Amino acid sequence: MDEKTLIAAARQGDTHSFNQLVSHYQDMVYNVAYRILGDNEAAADASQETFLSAYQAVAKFKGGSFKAWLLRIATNACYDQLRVHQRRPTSSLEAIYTDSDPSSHFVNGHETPEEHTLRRELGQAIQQGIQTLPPDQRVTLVLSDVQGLSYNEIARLTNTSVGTVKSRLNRARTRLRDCLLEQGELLPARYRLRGEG
Amino acid sequence: MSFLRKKSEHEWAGETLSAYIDGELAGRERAQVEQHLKECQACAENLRTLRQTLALLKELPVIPAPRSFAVRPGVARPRPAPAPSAWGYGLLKGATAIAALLLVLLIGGDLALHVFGGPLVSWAPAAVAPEVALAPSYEADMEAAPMEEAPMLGQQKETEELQATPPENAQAVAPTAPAEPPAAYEMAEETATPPLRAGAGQPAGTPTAEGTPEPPSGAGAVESPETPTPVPAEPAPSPTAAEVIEATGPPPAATPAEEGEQRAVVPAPDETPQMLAMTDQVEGQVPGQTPPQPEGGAAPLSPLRLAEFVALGLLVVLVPATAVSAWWTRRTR
Repeated sequence: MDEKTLIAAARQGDTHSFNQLVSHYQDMVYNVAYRILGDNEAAADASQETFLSAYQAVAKFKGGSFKAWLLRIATNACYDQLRVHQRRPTSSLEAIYTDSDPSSHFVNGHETPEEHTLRRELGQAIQQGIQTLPPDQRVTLVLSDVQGLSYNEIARLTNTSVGTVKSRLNRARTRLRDCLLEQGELLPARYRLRGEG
Repeated sequence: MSFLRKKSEHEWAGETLSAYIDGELAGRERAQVEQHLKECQACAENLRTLRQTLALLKELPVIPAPRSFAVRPGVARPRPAPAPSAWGYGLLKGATAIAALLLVLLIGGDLALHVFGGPLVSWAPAAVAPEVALAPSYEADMEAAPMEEAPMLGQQKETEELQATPPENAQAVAPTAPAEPPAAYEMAEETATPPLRAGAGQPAGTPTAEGTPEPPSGAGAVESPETPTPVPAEPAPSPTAAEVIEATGPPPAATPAEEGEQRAVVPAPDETPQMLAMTDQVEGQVPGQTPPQPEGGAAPLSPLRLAEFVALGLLVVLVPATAVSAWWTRRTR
């Protein structure tokens, strides 16, 4: 069945059809949540909350991009989680900096153990850099550079103007770049920003 | 000057490099950035490192979801309509706003009445009324059962005070009092307190100020036209009050003393509630009796003050309810 048929069935309360949509989008939602929150459990909670909210509100879905609609709900769920983490800053920071990147456990069959280690270190460095950004910049960066959404899509999704998206994205990238430059010596030589060129 | 222009152009280029990488700049802006990049080594270096950062971000692997986020059947149902909590929240918000507005208006009106005078004074002297109005009724009782000649210490002192300051007391009991609300109100409070103090000095077992019955103040006011004391018990400055002033003239100097005597009589040990009740019954049979005034034990609440309390009570209930509703709505949205 195509997406429109599944959505129409889900609007009638067909849980099975909705769960087919869940299985198609759950990796995307989880990745966005993880990159924004930087914590496995918080990301899982936000993802579950996203699909539950989507199921409860699917009757109000007025057509258009289901992916964008889902990402909007996911972003709001992430903001909620961030608020919860802000109330418990100590545990949150501990979770962020001691939590290993789950992608490091995902071994690519074509890479050597050395390459796997390098990729893991890089993933951790980038994730730590993202965590230093303010929430709005973080969300914009993830939606643009991890999910590949356009400026217009991000502006609609976050209820802001394209100008604001441009500004937030430029600041986020510059700050992340500076963060990676500071960790330059820690990064594998292949990934050192100044080492190339 | 050219330095400033160059600096601002450098800053502008630095802010647009990200959009330049994404191809989000219009033709003219794009050309300006490219021109600047040729001239500015720092911006060219920034562009290079930004591009590398983007490349690293895009290299981030997709992480598989740790578990299925499928919705269990029966756990949740699609919501065709907005949650009732949102509807209830809107209603509560409106009710809170209305209650707050009402309270502000009522307090404003109350203050205006205090400042400019008006109906507020109509109930202020009522506190005096019972006590002052008792005077004539006790006159008859005094003859039937003569009270002790020497009042108690506190009572005597009060009597002396009252005799010593006839103008003040005259002002309190004179019909002109309603024309000056604050003074009348203050005096009403002053004159309302002596029975309580006198009661404190009574021997145990005697009726206290609380225990004494509260006869209708209006009865005495009708029965004793020769004394101006009952007149302030009338609710508002009325033509009747003016007539009384003209008929009786200024309050005689003896009046306070007389009132002092009556005050001394009120807490007398021999006086029993039954006697007072009998007196009231007799007075109640007098034709042309005015309707009874509010009780003299405590100052009665004006409708305005009562409305203020009601509005305040509503706010006290509505504000926490609205806060809880807002939290719940945000949580379920």
